Amino acid sequence: MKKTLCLALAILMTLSLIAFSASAETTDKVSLEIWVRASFYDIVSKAAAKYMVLHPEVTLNVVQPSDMSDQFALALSSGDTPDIVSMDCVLIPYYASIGALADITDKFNALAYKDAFSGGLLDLAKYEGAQYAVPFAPDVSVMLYNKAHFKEAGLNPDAGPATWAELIDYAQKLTIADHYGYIYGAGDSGTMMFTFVPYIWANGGDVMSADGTKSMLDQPKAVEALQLMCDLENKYKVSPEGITSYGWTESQDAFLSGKASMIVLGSNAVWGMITGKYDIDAGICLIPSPDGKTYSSFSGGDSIAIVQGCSNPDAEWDFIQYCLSEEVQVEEMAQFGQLPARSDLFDNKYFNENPEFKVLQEALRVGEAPYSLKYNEMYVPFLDGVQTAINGTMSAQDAFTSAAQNINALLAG
Amino acid sequence: MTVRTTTILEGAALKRRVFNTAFILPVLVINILFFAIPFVKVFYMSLFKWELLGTHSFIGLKNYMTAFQDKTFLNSLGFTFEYALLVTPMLFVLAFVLALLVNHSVRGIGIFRTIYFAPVVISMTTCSLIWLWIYNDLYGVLNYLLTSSGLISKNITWMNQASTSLPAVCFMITWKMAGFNMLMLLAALQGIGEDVHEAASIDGASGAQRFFRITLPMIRAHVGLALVISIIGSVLAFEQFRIMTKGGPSSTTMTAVNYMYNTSFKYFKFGYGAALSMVLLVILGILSYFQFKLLQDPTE
Repeated sequence: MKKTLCLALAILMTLSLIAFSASAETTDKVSLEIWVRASFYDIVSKAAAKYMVLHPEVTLNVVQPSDMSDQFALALSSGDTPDIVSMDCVLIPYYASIGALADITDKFNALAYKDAFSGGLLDLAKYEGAQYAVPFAPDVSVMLYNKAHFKEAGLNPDAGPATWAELIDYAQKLTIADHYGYIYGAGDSGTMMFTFVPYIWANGGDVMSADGTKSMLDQPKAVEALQLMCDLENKYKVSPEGITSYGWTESQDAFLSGKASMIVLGSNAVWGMITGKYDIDAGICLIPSPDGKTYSSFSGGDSIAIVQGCSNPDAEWDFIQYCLSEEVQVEEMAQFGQLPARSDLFDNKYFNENPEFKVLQEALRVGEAPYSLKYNEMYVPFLDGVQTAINGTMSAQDAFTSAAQNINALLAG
Repeated sequence: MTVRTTTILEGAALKRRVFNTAFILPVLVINILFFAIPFVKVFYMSLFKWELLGTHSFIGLKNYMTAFQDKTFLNSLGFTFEYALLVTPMLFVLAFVLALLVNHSVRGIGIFRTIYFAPVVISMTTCSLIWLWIYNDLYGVLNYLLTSSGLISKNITWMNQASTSLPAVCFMITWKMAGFNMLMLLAALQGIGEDVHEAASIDGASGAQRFFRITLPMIRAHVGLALVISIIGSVLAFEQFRIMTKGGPSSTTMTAVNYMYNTSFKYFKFGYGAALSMVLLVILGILSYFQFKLLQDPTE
C-alpha cells in the first residue's frame, strides 16, 4: 500500500514537472494569428514562413477567412479576434471608428519610409487624425485592351484611348458582330466602384465630400461620368445589353474570351497578361480622362492593422514591419506581379523588365478611394443609381440625385 | 402481494420513461442549443440598437416598426413570395412526374433515380455558378443553342431584368431540387400497397381516377410535408439570387434573406437584422400552420 502511494506521488510529481516546464516554455513563445484575404494569402504565408525562420521564438498562424468582412465582424462580436488583420483598405475607417483596431500612429511615424506610401491609401488608414493601418498590398484600376482587335480595327495597338472622345471613337470602331468595344460589370457595386468611379474623379467630381459626410454623386461632374456610361450603352451601343447583370467575373471572362475589346481591371489581371496565364495579347493604359491629362485610378487592395486588445503589440508591429520590408515587398510581391506598397521599392529588377508596371505605378500615384464610415452601406444606393440610368429608367441626373439622397439619408441615420 | 406487483409495474414504467427520455434527449439538447437559445438571443437582440462593438441600447419594438415601414424589406418580401409562388408548382409538377416514372420495379430503375437525384447533392453555389455561365448572353451555351436552332434571332440577356431572371432561376432550382421532392413522394408512393390499386382496378377505376381518388389522398401527409419544406426553402432563398442576379438590376431581385444578410453582416445593424429575422420566422410559422391545416386528412 505504502509502495503504491509512493509510486503514485512520484508519477504525479513527474507529471507536474513536465506540465510546468511545458507551460514555462509556452510563456516564452509568442503565438500570433494573422487573417488575410484570399488574394494575398500566399504572400503573407510565405512572409510568415521566412519570419519564423528568423524569429524561432514566434509562431505565426496565417488564416484565410471565407469572407473577411463577415468573419471579422463575427470574431469581434464573439471576442475571439486575430492579432493582425490584412483587409480591404476601404473598410479600415469603419473598423477604426468602432475601436476594433489599435492606434499605431507613433509606431507608423517612426518608420523611415513613412512618406513612401500612396497618399490616398494612407488617408483611408486614418480615423480622426490617428493612424490605424498601413498600406500593404495595393491594387489599382487600369484599362486593358485587346491588341489584336486594335490591329483589325486599324488602331495603334501600342496606345490605348487617352480621352473620353477617343474611348467612344475606339469603342465604335471595335464593335463588330463578334465583339463589343467596351465592357464593364454594372451588376456589382464593388466592381463599379473600382472600374467606373475613376471616370468621376478624372472629370473633377467625387463620390463623397472630403470629410466623408456627404454624397457628391448628384454634382454635374459625377453625372457627366455616368452619362458617358449610358451613352456607351444606349447611344453608341458599344457595350453589351446585359451589362447591368455582369459582375467582375463575367466582364473579365468576356474580355479574355475576345467578346469585348476594352475593359478596366486591376493589378492581378495585368500580371496574368504578362505571365501568359491569360491567353491574350493585351495592352495597358491609364483609364481615359475627359482631357487626356488628369488621370485617375481606384487605389484599392489591402492595408494591414493590429487588432485592438491584442496580447503582444510589439511582436505584431515587428511582423508588420517585416511585411513592409524589401524582402517581402520585392521578393514575395513584385517578383510575382504584385505592386509594392512603398514607392521607394518601385525601382526593382522585376518591375524594370516590364514596362506595364510603370502604368500601374502611375495609377497608384494618381489613385484615390472614397472615404466613408459606411462604405458597405453606400453599395446598394450607388449601384441602383448606376443601373437605373444605364437601363434608361431614369436620366443620369435623376438617378444620381436619387442615389445621393439615399446615401445622405444613410449617413445621417 | 398486490403492493409488490404495483411496485414492480411502477418500476417498469419508470424504466420505460427513462429509456424513452434517453432517446429524445439528443434531439432535445440539439434543439435547445441550436434553436431555442439562439431564438431567445435573436429576439433579445431585436429589441436593441445592437451595433458590432460598444454598448447596446434598448429601443423596445422600434426595430419592428422600422421593418414594417422599410420599403426595401417589404419589396424584398414581395419578391420572395413571388419567387416561392412560381417555383413551388414547377418543383412539384416535375417531382410528381419523376416520382411516378421511377415508381416501378424494373431493371435499372435505380440508375434513373440516381440521375434525377444527383443535382440535389451539388452545392447551391456551384449550381448557381454553372447556370450563370449557361445563361450568359455573350458566351453562354443556352443562347448559343437557341440561336443555332433558329428559335431566337438575338441573344437573350437572361439576367438583365427580373422578367427573365426570375423564371431562369426558377428553372435552375427546379432542375436542382426536383429530385429531393421526387424522393419524398416516391417513398410515399411506395407505401401504398399494390392490392389497393388492384382492388380499384377490379372495381373499374381508370388510371386518372386511381391517381386522384386513391394515390393523392393516401400520400396527402407526405405531400404536405414536402410542400412545407419546399415553401420554407423558397422563402429562405439566398445564394441563387446573390450569385446569379446579384439582387439586381436596381434591387428588383433582392430576396428577404439577402436583405437580412446585408443588414447584419454588411451594414452591421445586428439588432435590426434580428428583428427582420423574427418577422420572417413568424411569417413562415403562419404559412406552415395553414399548409398543414389545408393538407390535413379531414377523416382524421
